[in-house]
Amino acid sequence: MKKMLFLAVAAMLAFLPAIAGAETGAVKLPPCTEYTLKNGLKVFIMESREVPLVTIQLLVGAGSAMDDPGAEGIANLTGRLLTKGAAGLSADQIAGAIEEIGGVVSVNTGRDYATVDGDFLAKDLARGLDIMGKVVLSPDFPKDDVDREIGLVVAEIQGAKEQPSATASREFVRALLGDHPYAHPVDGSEPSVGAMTREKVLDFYQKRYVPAGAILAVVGDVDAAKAFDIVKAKFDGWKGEAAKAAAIPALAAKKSVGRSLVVINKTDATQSQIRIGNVSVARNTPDYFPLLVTNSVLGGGFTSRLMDEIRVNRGLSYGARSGFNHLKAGGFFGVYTYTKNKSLRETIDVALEQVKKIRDEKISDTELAKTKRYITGLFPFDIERNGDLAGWITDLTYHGIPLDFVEGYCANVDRVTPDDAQRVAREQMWVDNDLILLVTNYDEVKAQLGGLGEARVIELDQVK
Amino acid sequence: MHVLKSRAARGVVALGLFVLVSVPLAHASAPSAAETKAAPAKLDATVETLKNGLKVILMEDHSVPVVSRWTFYRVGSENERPGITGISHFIEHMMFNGAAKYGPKEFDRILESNGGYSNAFTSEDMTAYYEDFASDVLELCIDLDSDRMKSLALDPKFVVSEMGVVKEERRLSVDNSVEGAMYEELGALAYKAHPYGWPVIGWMSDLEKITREDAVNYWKTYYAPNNAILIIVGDFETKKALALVHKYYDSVPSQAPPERVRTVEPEQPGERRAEVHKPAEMPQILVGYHIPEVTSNDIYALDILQYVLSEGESSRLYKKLVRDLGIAVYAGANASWNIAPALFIFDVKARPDKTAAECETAVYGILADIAANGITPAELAKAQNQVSANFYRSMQTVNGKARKIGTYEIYFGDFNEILKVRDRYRAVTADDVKRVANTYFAPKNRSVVTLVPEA
Repeated sequence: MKKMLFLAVAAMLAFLPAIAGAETGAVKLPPCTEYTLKNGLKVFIMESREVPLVTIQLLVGAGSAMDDPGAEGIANLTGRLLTKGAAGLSADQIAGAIEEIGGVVSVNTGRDYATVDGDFLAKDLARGLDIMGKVVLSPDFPKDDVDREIGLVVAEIQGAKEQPSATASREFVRALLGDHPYAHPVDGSEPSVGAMTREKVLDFYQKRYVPAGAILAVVGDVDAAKAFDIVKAKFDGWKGEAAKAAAIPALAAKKSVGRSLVVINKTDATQSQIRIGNVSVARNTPDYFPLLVTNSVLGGGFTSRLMDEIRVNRGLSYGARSGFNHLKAGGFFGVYTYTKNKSLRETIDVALEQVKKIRDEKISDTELAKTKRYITGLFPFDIERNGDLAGWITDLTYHGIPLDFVEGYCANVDRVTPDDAQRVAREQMWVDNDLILLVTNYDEVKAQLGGLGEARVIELDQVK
Repeated sequence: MHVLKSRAARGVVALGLFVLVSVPLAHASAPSAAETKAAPAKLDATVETLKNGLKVILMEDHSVPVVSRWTFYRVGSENERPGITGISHFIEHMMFNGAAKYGPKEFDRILESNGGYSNAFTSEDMTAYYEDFASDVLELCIDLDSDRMKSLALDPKFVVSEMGVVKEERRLSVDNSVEGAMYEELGALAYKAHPYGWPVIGWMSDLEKITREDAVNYWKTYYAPNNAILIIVGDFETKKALALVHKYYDSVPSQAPPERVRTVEPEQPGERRAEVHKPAEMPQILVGYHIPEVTSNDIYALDILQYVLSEGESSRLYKKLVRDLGIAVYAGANASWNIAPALFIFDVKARPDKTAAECETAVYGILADIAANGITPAELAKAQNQVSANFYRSMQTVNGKARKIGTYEIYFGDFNEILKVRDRYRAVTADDVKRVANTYFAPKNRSVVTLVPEA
């Protein structure tokens, strides 16, 4: 049953920023050595010798924001196909080579970038890098595999519609961001993926899977100098320049546009999924920490205001959270919850009231201190695993942020003041100027929606 | 079947780890120095049982300045009866809603304001609670947990509001989930006698009727130190931690040991089938075969078989159903670890233009092939390497280590089995795998749930 539970919340989790923190100054990264290959690939080797494992993560600027117009989902499809045939090896041979040594390799495409993630026993570092080098540098994109994978992705997009939470989160971002390259789901739509071909995949690969701008992190029970020699041998031959016009257009803030209400009509729903939010700022915002702390007061942890009012005091939901998603060229803010159809309006009103309150009233010193301690106390858990460390290294480097961000994290959280919090709440958390998206049984709940504006109703089977 | 319910959506992250715990250990192809370091002959932990029966296991790990503290109770949905199904999981929720010293809302408020995170989960066999926190708040966490073990309030107002929360959890994970509804149907179909047949989250009609008195009685029966295990792993000094454990837990009174489940599921006399009609995009099947309890020696061969069938894209199910035949989007298998005999479950989602029947036939074809011809030496070696690597992955965090210790205590009565189990995986042969395939994958031993998508 664990998978079901995973599906139910995956969409919500996707929006939550990393929660983190320890006593100020207590966080220390293991030693890390940085190299740059002649082709521009940045390489970081971090020695972390707790368990005999090694994580290898390669970040490439090939996220869905780079999808060619009309080919939404091409980045994701290309990523999935890397392991389906490379350097003359078939998909079966690649899977066999990885798995016979207990290894795992997956390609994960997001909006800004894609990562190729490997995890191996440390003694298998050279074999792991050899396989990863082949799939990244020399994918073959066999036609049969391309066709099969297209069919699978289309079927998965259809299947996701069975999950109200996933549907709500996908359609919330799509409705919120309009025609921006961040708007469409990473895996695209049924028609866009259905129209893809091997040629389009190959073209995308050649434009976007290039060493310039790519970042490779190796973290684990390895010797840095020896590991670098292997990396160099496998990745030195990677060629290619980043294609022109690779920058993602800035996401314009939507101010003073009023409220819009979108309803996805799922006629058998007995529970309503609720998303409320607006566009927000990029990852490089100077307000990163004030936003992190203010959001945590509103919707992080079990004692956040949303959790307290919606779940604890009223028993309206099993979960209520909020979160900022900061991307390279902009971001978005959302409140995420769900409740039985009968209490839909009550839950929306309670959520909006809490957003309004955090704008109108300054957070007390006590509540702010509690929240800061929560964030900093948990931060060490965010750097425990090799995969966590590799993720910090590649993501920070992609955004141009030095790695000492991690060690300074807790001190920066501690610096946030009540004035900072109120200022960013007023700038980034909206009440009358927002999108409300629901996945619900429209006939059953429409009488509750008065005063929220005219609903744009989309039948579930029209969602592609 | 590992039907786990946790306290909140974020707990699901932890459930992912639990999957690793449930299929643990095995064998690295060539033991290296590094492997010896991570897996010594004996786990370096201190064990003490208090006078009230609470078993305490402490293991130092100073790699990061954090601690993970767990309490496992030997209670789960198997201990329920019709009329109060879901009460184990409901008590799990109520354990965060106030006790004698720390009233309603205090547990989370105090813990989070001290930089800690807590969650919990309930399965058929156990209920477990944990906090992850910075090293300097260990005493506070011990105080908070011992308070609710000693004197849970079950405040009437919170009984009502928390039941609302649990019903929303049920609506989310079962009533509005195709997958959840399928698993619930499979349980009800496969078990005619044993309590594993009802859902851990409970039937909705029982959630409507459970009273505060039911909860008080249930809590008194099962939430006693002699029915619990306390585990602390992380950055602390054992001597000091043990003194704190005595200070706070010694005064918790023990109770009469609860009765264990008596019912044994009778042998299934023939194939069972059920349908779930629901609006859905694609056909889907669940097939469950009865297999023995976790302490059976056959479990290790069944786990190896699970890896051969469904771990990764070189597995038999993926290669046949997803790649070669192109009839499925997803094809998985899971051998349950449970105290009583449970199920080996196949879970297949068909492509929208294919049928459940095609998928079912393909699964049976693979099982017949293994029953007739066994698995290859390469498949056996691969599975053993995968199990070994997954073991290390589950031991990367203090939380993962404590969780593994607790689950092994529940299943085997001794966490040192963690290392003995390694040898049992190494001892599995291709013949063993062939034998268990013949023993358990007989048509009359299976229950099949088919999703019939409605428009």
